Amino acid sequence: MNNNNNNNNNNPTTVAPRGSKLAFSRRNMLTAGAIAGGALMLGGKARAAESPSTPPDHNHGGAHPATHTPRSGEHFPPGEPGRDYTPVVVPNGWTLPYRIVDGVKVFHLVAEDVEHEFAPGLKANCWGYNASVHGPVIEAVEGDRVRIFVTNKLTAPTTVHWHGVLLPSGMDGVGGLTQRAILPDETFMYEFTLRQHGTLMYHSHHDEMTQMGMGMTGLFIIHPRNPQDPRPDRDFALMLHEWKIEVGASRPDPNEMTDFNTLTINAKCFPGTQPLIVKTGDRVRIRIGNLSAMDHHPIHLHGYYFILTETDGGVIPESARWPETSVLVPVGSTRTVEFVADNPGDWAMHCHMTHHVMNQMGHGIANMIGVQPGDLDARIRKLLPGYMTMGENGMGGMTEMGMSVPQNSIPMVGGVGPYDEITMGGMFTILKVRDEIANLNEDPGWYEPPPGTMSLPATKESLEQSGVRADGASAPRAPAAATKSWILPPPLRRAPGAPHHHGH
Amino acid sequence: MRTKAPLAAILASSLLAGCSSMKPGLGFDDVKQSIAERSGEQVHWNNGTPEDAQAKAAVATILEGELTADQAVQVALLNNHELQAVYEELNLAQSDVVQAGLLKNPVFSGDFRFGVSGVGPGVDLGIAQDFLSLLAMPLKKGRAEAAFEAAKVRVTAAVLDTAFEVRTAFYDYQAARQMREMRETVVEATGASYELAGRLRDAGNIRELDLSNERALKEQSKIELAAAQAEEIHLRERMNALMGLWGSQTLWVAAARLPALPDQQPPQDGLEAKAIRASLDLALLRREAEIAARSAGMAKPFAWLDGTEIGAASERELEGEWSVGPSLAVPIPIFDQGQAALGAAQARYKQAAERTIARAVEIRSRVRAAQSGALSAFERARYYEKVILPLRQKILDETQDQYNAMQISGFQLLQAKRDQIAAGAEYIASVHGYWQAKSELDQILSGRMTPFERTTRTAGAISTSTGASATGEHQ
Ligand SMILES: [Cu+2]
Repeated sequence: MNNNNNNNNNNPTTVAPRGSKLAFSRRNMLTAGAIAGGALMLGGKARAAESPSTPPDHNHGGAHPATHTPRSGEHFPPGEPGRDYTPVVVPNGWTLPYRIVDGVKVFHLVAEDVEHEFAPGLKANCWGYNASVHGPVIEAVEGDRVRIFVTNKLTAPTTVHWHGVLLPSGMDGVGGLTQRAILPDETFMYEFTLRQHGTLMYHSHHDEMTQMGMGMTGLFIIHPRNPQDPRPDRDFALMLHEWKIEVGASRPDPNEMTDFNTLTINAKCFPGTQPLIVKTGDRVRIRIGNLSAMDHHPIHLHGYYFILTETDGGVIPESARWPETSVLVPVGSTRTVEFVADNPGDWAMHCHMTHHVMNQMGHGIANMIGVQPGDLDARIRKLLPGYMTMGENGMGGMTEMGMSVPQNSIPMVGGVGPYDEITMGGMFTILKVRDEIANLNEDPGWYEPPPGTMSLPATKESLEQSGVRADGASAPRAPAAATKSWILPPPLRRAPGAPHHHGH
Repeated sequence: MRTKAPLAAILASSLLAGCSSMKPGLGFDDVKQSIAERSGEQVHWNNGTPEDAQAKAAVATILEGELTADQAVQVALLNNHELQAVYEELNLAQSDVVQAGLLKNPVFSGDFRFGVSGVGPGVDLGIAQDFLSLLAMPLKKGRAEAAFEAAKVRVTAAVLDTAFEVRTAFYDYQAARQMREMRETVVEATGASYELAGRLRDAGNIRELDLSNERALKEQSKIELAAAQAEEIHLRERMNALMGLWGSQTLWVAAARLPALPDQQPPQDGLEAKAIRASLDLALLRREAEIAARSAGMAKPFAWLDGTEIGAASERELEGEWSVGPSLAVPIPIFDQGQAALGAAQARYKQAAERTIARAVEIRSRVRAAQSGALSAFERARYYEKVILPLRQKILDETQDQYNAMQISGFQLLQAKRDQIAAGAEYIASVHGYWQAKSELDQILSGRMTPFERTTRTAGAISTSTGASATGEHQ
C-alpha cells in the first residue's frame, strides 16, 4: 500500500527482490545507549555488521560471517513496524505483540489447551499457544534481539524449537538434547539475536508427533533490516497443516499416519478460510510454511504465475528463481512466492492434491460411481427410512442435501459460491483481486466479471455460427489408432537346437 | 378263608354296605372349584348334558378372535379330549368306592349225594359268604374313599398341568412367530445388501468375490428363515393338539405379539408358604399316606405330614389338615391278615410320610428358584427394553448420520440394521423367557411343580445371529 506501486511493469520476475545482498546503513545501527557493546559489534568488522542479513547458505554466494553466534549485546535497536517493515497479514490468525525492554523485544508464548474452530460446524480440542491454533505469528526484524518466555499450561511437558532460526545451540529448544522439557506450570526463557531474515517457524520439539499433531506450531517471520527490494504491498503469512478428526469426534488424532481428513491453511479449512484480499496492481508476497505430519503440499494459484523467491534457508539468488503456478511446500519447510496482482477476479488458491481439498472425507466408503440405484432405495427405506443412495455421481451436491449428519462435522466439500456449490474444501482459499476496494480487511464479496468475460451456456446462435452441434456430434472423436493399446511384436523365432526351458 | 354263614347274616351284611350305586361325574364339582380357585379357568366334563353344547359354543367363540395365552388355555381345558379321558379317573375311583361297599357275591353251593349203602340220595344247599370281607368292609371302603379323594387331586393336577403346558406352548409359538418375522426382516436386509452389491458390481466397482460374499450372507439368512418358519409351524401344531383342534378350527389366529412386560416385578413375599399350602403334590402324598394308614388299620394319618411342620418357624402359618397327632399305636386288624401285609402297609405309610417331607423341601426350593428365575427374566427383559433397544436405535441413527456424511458405506449401514434386528430378537427371547418363567412361578403357586430343568434354564436360547456383512469387511 505504499507509494511504490509501479504498475507499469506487470512482469513478476522483474518486481521480485533483487537477491539478498542487503546492505546495512549505519543509520540503522544502534548509535548509543541500547547496546553497551555497540562499538564491539562494529569492531571494525564490516562483515559482522552484514552477517545478520547474510544467510549462511553457501549457495547464496553472500559474505559469510566468521561465527553464527553473536556475542551478547551484538544486536540492533528493535525494528519498528511501518518504519522498518510492512507487517504480514495473517488470514484467520494474528501476530504476537511484544514489549521492548532494554532494547530487547520480549514475547510471551503460553502453551495451552485450545478449543479451535476449523470451519463453522467443526470444533476440536487442540493444543496451541496463547488461545489460538496455530500459535500467533512472531514477527521481528533482522538484528533484533528477542527474548521469548514460554509458559507451559498444558498437562504435558513441552519445549519450543525455533525452526530455521540461527541461534546458540542451547536456545534450540529440542527436548532432551538442548534443554530439559518445560514441565507443566513452568516458564522458560529463550533469548537470541536474529541474524538472518526470512520465513521461519516455531513448534514444539517434545513428543513432536503428538504436540505438532495437536496444533503446536507457528510462523516466525524475520524481515530484512535493510531491504534491497521494494516492500510488498501485501505480505501474507500462511501455515499449512493436516489433521485427523473423526466425523463427530472433537479431538484431532495425532496417532494418525496416513488418513488425514482435515487439511488447513492457518488452521482453517474451506469454507472457514479467510480470503487473501489485494488491490489490483499490488505487489503480493505469500509466505507458506508446512508443518503437516506427513504431507507436502503443492499450492496452486489460479490466474497468475508467481516467482519462488525464498525458502526457509533464505533468499534465492535471482538467477536461481523460477516461475511456476504450483509451489511445492515440503514438510518442515517454508516457501515464499511473489507476484504483482494485475489480474482482477476471484482466484482459487489451493493444494493440488485432490484429497487435500476435501473436508472430513470418508476414505473407506464403497465406490458408488455409476451405480444405478433404481428401485433399491425404496426397498431399503422400508428398513431404513432415512436411506438414500449417495455418491453415484461423485461427491458434488453433498453440501445441499440437508440430511442428518453427526454433530460437530462439516460437509466434505466447501460451500455455496456466487453461482453454485464450490466443490472443494480443506486446503482451499481465495485470492480476491479488486480494482477498487476501500478496506482490505473486509471481504469485498464475490467478483462480478465484466460482460463478455464469463463462461455462460452456449446460445443457439453461437453454436450455429461456429458449426457446433449441442449433442456433441460435431466434435472430433478419438481415432481408433489414438486409443488402441500397443501390441508387442511376436517373439523372435528360437534358434534351432537351443535348449528349451519350461516355466521361464 | 371261606366261612359258611346263614342267609340272615348275609342280608345283614348287605345292609351294612350302604350306598352301592354309581353316580357319574361325582367329585368333578370339587375339581372344578379347585381349578377356579387356583387358576381361574373353567373346566367342563362332557357327560351328555346341555352344558356340553355350551362348552362347545364357548370354544368356537374364543377361536373367532385373536387368541391370547389365557384363551388358548381355556380352549384346551374345554376341548382337550385327553383331559376328558382323565376326568373318567373320577368315575373309576368312584367305582372302587362303590365296589368297596359291596359284599362279595355270595357263592351258592349244593351238595348232591347219591344214595349209597343205606343212605338215600339228598341235596344239601347253602350259601357261602366271604365273611372276612364283610368284616373288612369299612376298612376297604375307607381306603377307596381316600383313593377317590386322591383321584380328585390327580385330576385337578392333570388340569393344571395341561393349562401350564398350553400356556407355555402358546408363548413358545408366539415367540417363534415373532422370531420368524425377525428373520424375514433379516432376509430383507441381507437381500438389500446383496442387491446393492449387485448394482455396484454392475457398475464395475466391486469384485465378483465381494458380490459372492454378499450373496452367501443372503442365502444363509434365507436358510435361517426357513428354519424359523418350520419351528413356527411345528409349535403351532403343538398348540392344535393341545387345544384339541382339527379341520377348520386350526385356522385360529394368535395375538401378534407376546404380552408386554408388566410394570411390576414378579411377587416375592410369602411364596413358600403359598406354594406349600397350594401344593397338589403334597396333598397327593397325604392321601397316599392316608391310604397306607388305612391299609395298616390306622384311623388317622399323621398331622406332621403337613408341610407346615417342615419349614422354618416363621413359615408355620398353615393350618394342619389333620388334627390328630402322630401315633403308631395302630389298631391291629383283628383278623389274620398276616404280618407281612401289615408290615408292607406300615412301610408304605412311612414311605409316604418321608416323601411328603422331601417333597415339601423340594417345593420350597423350587418356588425360590422359580421366583428368582422369574425375577431375573423380568430384569433381563426390562433391561433390553429400557437400555439395549434404545441404545441399538441410537446406534442405528448415528450410523445413519455417518452414512449421510459419507463416512461409511450402505453395507455398513445395513449391517447396523441387522445388528439392531439381532438385538430385537434377543429382546423377544427375553420377553419369552420372562413369560415362561412367570408361568412356572404361577404354576408352583397354583399347586403344581414343574420339572426342575425348566426353572433352572436361562431364557433366550433362540439363536439371534444375523451375520456380518461380507462386503462391509472389504470397504
Ligand atoms: Cu496438500
